[in-house]
Amino acid sequence: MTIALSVAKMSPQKNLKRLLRAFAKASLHIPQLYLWMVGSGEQEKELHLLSIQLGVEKRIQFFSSIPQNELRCAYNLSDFLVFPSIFEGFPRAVVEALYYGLPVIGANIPGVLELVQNGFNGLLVDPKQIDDIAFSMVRLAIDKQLRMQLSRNAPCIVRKRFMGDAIWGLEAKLYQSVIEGHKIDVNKDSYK
Amino acid sequence: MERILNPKNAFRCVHIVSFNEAHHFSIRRYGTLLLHTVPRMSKKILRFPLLSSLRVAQVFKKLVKQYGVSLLIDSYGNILDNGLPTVLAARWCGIPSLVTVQNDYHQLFSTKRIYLGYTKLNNILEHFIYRNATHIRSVSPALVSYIKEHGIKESNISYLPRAFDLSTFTQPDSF
Repeated sequence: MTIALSVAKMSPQKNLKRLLRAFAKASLHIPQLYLWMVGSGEQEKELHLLSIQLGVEKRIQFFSSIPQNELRCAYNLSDFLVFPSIFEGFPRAVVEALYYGLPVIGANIPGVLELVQNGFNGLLVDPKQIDDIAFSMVRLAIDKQLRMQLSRNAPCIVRKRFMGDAIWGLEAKLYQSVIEGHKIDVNKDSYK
Repeated sequence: MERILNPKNAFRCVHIVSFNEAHHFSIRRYGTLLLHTVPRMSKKILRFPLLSSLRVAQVFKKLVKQYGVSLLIDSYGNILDNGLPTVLAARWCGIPSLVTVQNDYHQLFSTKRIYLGYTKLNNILEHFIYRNATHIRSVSPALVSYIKEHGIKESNISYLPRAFDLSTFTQPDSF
């Protein structure tokens, strides 16, 4: 059994309708593929209905809202994260998934590109191409070796770039500079 | 929580304003954090972003005067809900403001249902926020370009991603 995970607000930005269509296609090839969808939002009912229309409702588990400790279990129990957003700022779910060693199928858009490197810790897809998303899901579902390899690399970027202590120091410096009206140099010498 | 909201104890005290369903004001202290709970505004007011922001800005202004706050920071949530009151109150009180940009709001305003009727107004308000903030923090390099498209100088923008407090996570079972 392979579990694909989606952690996202159910809004048009997150492109979950295409994800469901891609999952329906992928599951034709992989009978043991399941999808867990964590999140709630304005499209919740539409997505439930769409899963029924696509005939995959029995292979999708919806979790409206779950506490952090249960979300941890979801990351631990699933095999990869699918994150096909159309646009993003800084996707927290991708960082969390990578920290838990989950390979990420991510959209090739700014925000995700800074976190997911194609073939290193995940696979990048065109979020508007259902076939592209479906193909990557099939690829990760059948190729355990690739999944393991991406999984090993996944936590590196989080530990290297987003550890609290380093960034909190820069935040403190930024706040102080704004108060004192100094020229801010966080861009130049602090965070790369 | 204190490590995230008052990083490296940069401030003697951090005032956090939180809206909830309770119909009364309350204040709670957690170390250097002072949590001000404010009654949530009525749904009628919340439908009009400008009106609700003015009301929130008045709350901020009162706190700034009462506690001698030296910096107003909008660090979480939506730019309209939190950024607009932040820059308004900072201007009224003559103190600096720091606004955090964490999404491509142009696209958000044109896709999210609650914003659809007000896209043009929201874009104007967003532009107003960037022009009036003392400094802008972007959580992603791509958003720096997005902010610059609003005519903001690069020297007024800092790229600093969100920090993850990994100590709140347990060690993943698979490692």
